[in-house]
Amino acid sequence: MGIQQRLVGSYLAVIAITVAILEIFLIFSVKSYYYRNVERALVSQAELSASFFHQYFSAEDLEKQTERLLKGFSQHSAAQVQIISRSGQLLQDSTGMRGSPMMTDYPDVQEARNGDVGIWQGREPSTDESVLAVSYPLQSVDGNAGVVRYVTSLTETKKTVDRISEILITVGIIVVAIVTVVGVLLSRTITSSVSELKFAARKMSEGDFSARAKKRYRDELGTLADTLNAMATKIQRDEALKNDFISSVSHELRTPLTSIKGWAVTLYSNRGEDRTLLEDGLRIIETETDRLTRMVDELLDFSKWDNGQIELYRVSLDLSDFLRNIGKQLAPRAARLNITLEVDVSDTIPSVQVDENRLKQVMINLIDNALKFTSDNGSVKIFARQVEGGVRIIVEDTGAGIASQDIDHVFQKFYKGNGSTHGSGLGLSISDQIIKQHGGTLTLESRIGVGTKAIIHLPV
Amino acid sequence: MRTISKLARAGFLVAALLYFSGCRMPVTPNELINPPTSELSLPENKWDEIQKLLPKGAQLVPQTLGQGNGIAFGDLDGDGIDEALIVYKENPLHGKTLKAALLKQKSAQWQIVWDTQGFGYGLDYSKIADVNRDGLPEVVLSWSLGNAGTGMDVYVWRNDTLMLQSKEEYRASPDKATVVGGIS
Ligand SMILES: Nc1ncnc2c1ncn2[C@@H]1O[C@H](COP(=O)(O)OP(=O)(O)O)[C@@H](O)[C@H]1O
Repeated sequence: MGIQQRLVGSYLAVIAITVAILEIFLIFSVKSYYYRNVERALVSQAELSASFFHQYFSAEDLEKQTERLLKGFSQHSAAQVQIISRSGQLLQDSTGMRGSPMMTDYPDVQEARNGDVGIWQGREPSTDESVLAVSYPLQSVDGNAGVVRYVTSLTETKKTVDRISEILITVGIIVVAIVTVVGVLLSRTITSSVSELKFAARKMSEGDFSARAKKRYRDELGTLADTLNAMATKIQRDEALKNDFISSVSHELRTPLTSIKGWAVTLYSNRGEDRTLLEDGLRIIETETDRLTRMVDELLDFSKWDNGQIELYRVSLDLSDFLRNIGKQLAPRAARLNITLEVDVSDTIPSVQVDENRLKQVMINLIDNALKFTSDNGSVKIFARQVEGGVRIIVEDTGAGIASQDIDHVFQKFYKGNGSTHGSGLGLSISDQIIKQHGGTLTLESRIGVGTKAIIHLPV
Repeated sequence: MRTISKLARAGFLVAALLYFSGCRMPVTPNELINPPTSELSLPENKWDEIQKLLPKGAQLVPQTLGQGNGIAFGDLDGDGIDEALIVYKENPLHGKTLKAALLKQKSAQWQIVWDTQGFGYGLDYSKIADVNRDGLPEVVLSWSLGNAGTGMDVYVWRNDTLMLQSKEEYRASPDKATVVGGIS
């Protein structure tokens, strides 16, 4: 069932129930209002007649004055008026006498003969008409003299009530119809944005991420459209990054391979005659192979991180030794690039519980980046300080810096800023994940043209 | 939502039942018909004062014989100041009961000193007059049940209040009523 049907359906249900309750209440009220009023009119007429009789006419014999009494009793009433004797015999009837039948079968007459007010609603046996009868005892000095009885047909009352009910029900149906139409129109405003969303989502699922959902209103659906569009944008960008990555990786892999192949060919054709050439060539082949290995390792690593398969082997690590060793290891490269590499670690720094190999990977990555983006005569400094709740390791360079529009993205996988074609764009992303897994944070501060500061915070 | 509507329906029915089983029925349109308040031309604007004494919404009942408007004056206790006999219908919203009241002027203030209930469809006539020719005035209230006849109550002034002296029916012809009633 579509949303529109469900919406309209629930509108309808609510309205139908409301209207039905109101109708029942109204019809019930109207009916009881009419019946009650008819009854009340008869009762007050009967009471008035009976009390007047009791006050002024009770001295005389009832039978002798029935004709005159009937005239008075019926003067202000359209109802049928009957005067019944003490024994239950009909003495006078305003609709004309039909013999003098016994009236004792009627419950109201029975009650009135016992001195109570009798009210009876039922079917007149002879005509099968629905009637309402009110009987009042006529009291004389020596007790009950007879009964005065007012009878009205309820046919007209019933007809009137039925007519009003018909009108009410018709109005109710019209109301429900109007609400249904309005409901359909209103639900369109919701369903149309939903179907647009659906349309856009289907296009995206088919791989067309240039599709965009239209935002109609600033409501939940509007937010959903925004989210969907943002998702599509991100997927598009990731897609572009991935393509970029593949081409750059192929390029990166190809460069060392070409160089290795070239040297291999050269050395082969030279057949070891030129000793220096041989040594140079082999050294270059070695470094290029290292580069390849590192890149493949990074890629392997990364897919592992992505799948969450990496486990940390934490050991207690003395940071000052650790950082100095890394400094020594990278010193020749820095010297070759004519960059000063400084390691400034206080001996009092507490030891940390970390996976040594992983932290080394992070440090090499950061220092490698720093060296990569720093030109001649620059400097790279490595500090470690104890701070509240942990230690802080900083790698600071005086290099190119990162543009502010890039700095938010450099942690993304495959992202490379500065139009740089070197590297995989995975280094910072992996480093960030490693530090996060240690419960720490990795942040970058950078000013373009001035330098970059990578700050690792590790808890102890 | 279903249960709520069921509850609401039950509530409605209960409320309706309570409402209609109680005696607080709304009045019928018929009973709402009554004349606008009339400025009766009473000397010294007594009506304003008198009306304040009657229950709210009461209306004078004009007599069907002669031209009385439901107020009769006469000196009952012989102090030289006229008493007023007023026949009125109580507020139609509370049942149109006929009532009669006697008002006495005490230090220029009207006060209800006596009242009684009326009978029948209306008032034939009311008056303060000596109907039994004993030299003292009586209060006569003649209630009508249309063609069935009339009931006449005669009250005498005794011990600072009115006592019922006789209560009888009579079938009056208009001329006789005129003679007895002696329209004032
Ligand atoms: N110290 C730095 N100075 C300037 N730019 C940097 C520095 N470190 C990282 N970057 C920028 O961040 C990008 C991503 O770095 P990274 O994730 O480490 O990739 P890669 O492994 O290719 O170096 C680099 O392409 C570079 O633009």
